[in-house]
Amino acid sequence: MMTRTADLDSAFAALADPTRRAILARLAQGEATVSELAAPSGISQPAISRHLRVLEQAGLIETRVAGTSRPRRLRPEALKDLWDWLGAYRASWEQVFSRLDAVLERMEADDSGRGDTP
Amino acid sequence: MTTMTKTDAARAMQTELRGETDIVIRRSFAAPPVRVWRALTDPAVIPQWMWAFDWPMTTCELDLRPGGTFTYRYTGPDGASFFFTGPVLEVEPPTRLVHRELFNGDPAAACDVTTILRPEGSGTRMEMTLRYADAGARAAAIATGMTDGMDVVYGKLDAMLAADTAGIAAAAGT
Repeated sequence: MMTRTADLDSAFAALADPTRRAILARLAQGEATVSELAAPSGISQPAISRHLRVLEQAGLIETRVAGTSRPRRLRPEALKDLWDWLGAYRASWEQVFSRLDAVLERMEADDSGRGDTP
Repeated sequence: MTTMTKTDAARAMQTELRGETDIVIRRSFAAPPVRVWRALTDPAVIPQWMWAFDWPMTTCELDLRPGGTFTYRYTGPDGASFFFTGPVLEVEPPTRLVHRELFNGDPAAACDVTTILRPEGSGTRMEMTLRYADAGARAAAIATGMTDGMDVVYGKLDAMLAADTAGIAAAAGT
């Protein structure tokens, strides 16, 4: 469970970059090596490696050792933690706005009651 | 049931992490901008809705003019409380409100909030942009005080994640 703000901090910072989000989206399809990630993207392997390091330090991906190959893969539990945080954040706003819906309805009724609504 | 459908489909909230510092929240309301504006700026009305989970707003002070200040305090079930305070920066009824909020008065935890109301049919489209000092401050704001909501969303998030692991990229905005 990602409970420390520092982890969330680095995870959100890692996600702030569109290239890194594209890498995550690719890894969501299955694991891939640096060269497999670089080939279709037109981005150099050293640049891909730097992005991967940021993602790994944020705990979003991990490296598997397979002989001489080092494929990267998602850490679904880290993504789930992010979803949980974002979901809780959204849930709080949804509560706020549902309550505002009700208040606006009451205001409309009050205004109608006073007969000052066209 | 019809009301639920309308609420879900027509007023659905959208949240977006934009760039490194911004959170953008969009939501539609059935009332016209002038009424949403009143709900947003009348200290007699604000505490009726601007709170979540078990933390009702217990103090609401708002001096609605550029250079005026506001303080919103929230109190939890165990008597603990936190507050947002700060200056009102721009007031253009009923379309635009900009204020800076400091969590517990801490200047290091500042967020500039721009609220835009636009007519949408007979209702209102609200777009609220929360701009933090940096990516870390934004992450901290999302994490702070949100633990109470965890169990509320736990079940449906499991399903969401199972359905689309790649959705995290979409949730982070593009």
